[in-house]
Amino acid sequence: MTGNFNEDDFERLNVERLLTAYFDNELSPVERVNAEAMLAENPNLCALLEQWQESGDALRQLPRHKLGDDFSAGVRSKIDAIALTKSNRPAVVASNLDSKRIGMGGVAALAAMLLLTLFVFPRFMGDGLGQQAGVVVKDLARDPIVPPRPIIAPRNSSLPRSPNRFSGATSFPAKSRGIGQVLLIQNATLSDIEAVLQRHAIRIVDSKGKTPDGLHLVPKAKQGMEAIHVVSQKGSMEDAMNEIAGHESVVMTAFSIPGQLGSLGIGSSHSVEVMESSALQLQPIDLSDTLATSLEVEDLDQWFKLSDGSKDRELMKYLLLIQSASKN
Amino acid sequence: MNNPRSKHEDREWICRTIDGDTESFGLLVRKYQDRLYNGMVQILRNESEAEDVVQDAFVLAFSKLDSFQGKSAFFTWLYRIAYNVAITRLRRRKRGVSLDGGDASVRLDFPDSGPLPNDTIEKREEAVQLYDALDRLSSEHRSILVLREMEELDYDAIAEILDLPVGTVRSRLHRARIRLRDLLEKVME
Repeated sequence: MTGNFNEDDFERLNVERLLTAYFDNELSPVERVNAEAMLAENPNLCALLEQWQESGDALRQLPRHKLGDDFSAGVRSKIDAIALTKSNRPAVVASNLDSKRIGMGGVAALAAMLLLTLFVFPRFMGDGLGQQAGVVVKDLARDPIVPPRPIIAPRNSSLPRSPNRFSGATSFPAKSRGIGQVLLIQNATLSDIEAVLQRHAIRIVDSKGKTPDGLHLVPKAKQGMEAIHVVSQKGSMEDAMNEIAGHESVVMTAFSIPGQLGSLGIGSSHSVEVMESSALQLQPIDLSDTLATSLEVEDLDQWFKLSDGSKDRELMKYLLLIQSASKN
Repeated sequence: MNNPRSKHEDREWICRTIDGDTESFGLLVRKYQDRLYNGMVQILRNESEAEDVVQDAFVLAFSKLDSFQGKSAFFTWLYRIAYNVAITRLRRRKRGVSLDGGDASVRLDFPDSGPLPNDTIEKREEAVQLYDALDRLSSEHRSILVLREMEELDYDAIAEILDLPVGTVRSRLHRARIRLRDLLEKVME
């Protein structure tokens, strides 16, 4: 699109921006002088500004829509429920930690949590985990059961279509419920994401297992279908792990934009660039504390930091898909 | 609404909420619910959906409140959350998008109970025409006009809510105004 952008287009764009900002009183003193000179030379633009003034006034005079008196009570009941859940959360975390101290087997939720936090992230984010995490990775890697499935990138993307190009995904063994696929897509558009999901026959569901069009997939998932979870902005990592533990096979999708997560994050993505995960040069943070603090999914932003020293750059927008190998 | 006293009040309620006082968040809800709802009604052109979006936005805001850094006004931050929820809903309405880019499948009824700009038939007729034109605008153009003309937000706030550079806000606003003018001329013919 920008290839066809010629000098006239730039000129027109500058005039548009100057005129609009003049009308809205958003110009610097210097820009304002330029705008007034432009208006003096183009009386027709003054007429345009008058039209804008009229339509703006009309918009401001439209009747206001108001909510009923019971609205805030409805919100209050929801946030009270959330507050209650939050206040109960530390006890659940402590319980998981206790299980971990007792032993590695037997607790599916804990296994899934360990697989995710200690198996996937270290492999794809590089080295540098805390000591506690490194030991457990070795324990899990001794007992491979299901070989990882190949990653197939969507058509028209620069993601690797061959598993060999995605060394992290193929070099580690996976257990039942282990993580078999990881796609990391930076700055994906909604259509890119939809293409990936379609290619992998992945359905997005909310934390209750429902798709946007109302289908309830979780019960089917328990019958052997792949279970798909979008870890929403409402969910904690612990919630996600608990959900994962109940299914044969899991796709966990987490994506983030600074300040936005979940489907909101998808909705906000507008760049078209799709990059290979190997090019991202990600750097992990020490995950050992995250088990104890039940890290919120939104804190994934803190896990993914550019290692090129560009600390002032905006954190990356990304989609992280983690798909487990099927038990079957 | 964005005066220092209001901001200070917001900040205090936010701090209390983070400390566990959900009643303080209720104060924030009551303060901003109608303003946010009106904006969402205009963007979505659907009262029922707008109510859902506003409720979701408040719940999301509550659950993420500790990430609010206070760099922008609370209302701007809240509006951005609501806007993103609304845009997600609009994208699900793919089948209803008309060829000219407007959401022709969704038409907002003129509110019967709301006070009219002026109790004259002529004024009411003008408002109905404006509603008609808004219905025909693309959601992008409608959103930016709502933010500027109805919410009277400055460019920085609009840029933050829409996640756009300020330069793009300027040019999009220009085109939205031109489009609205053209549509108003058309509906008045």
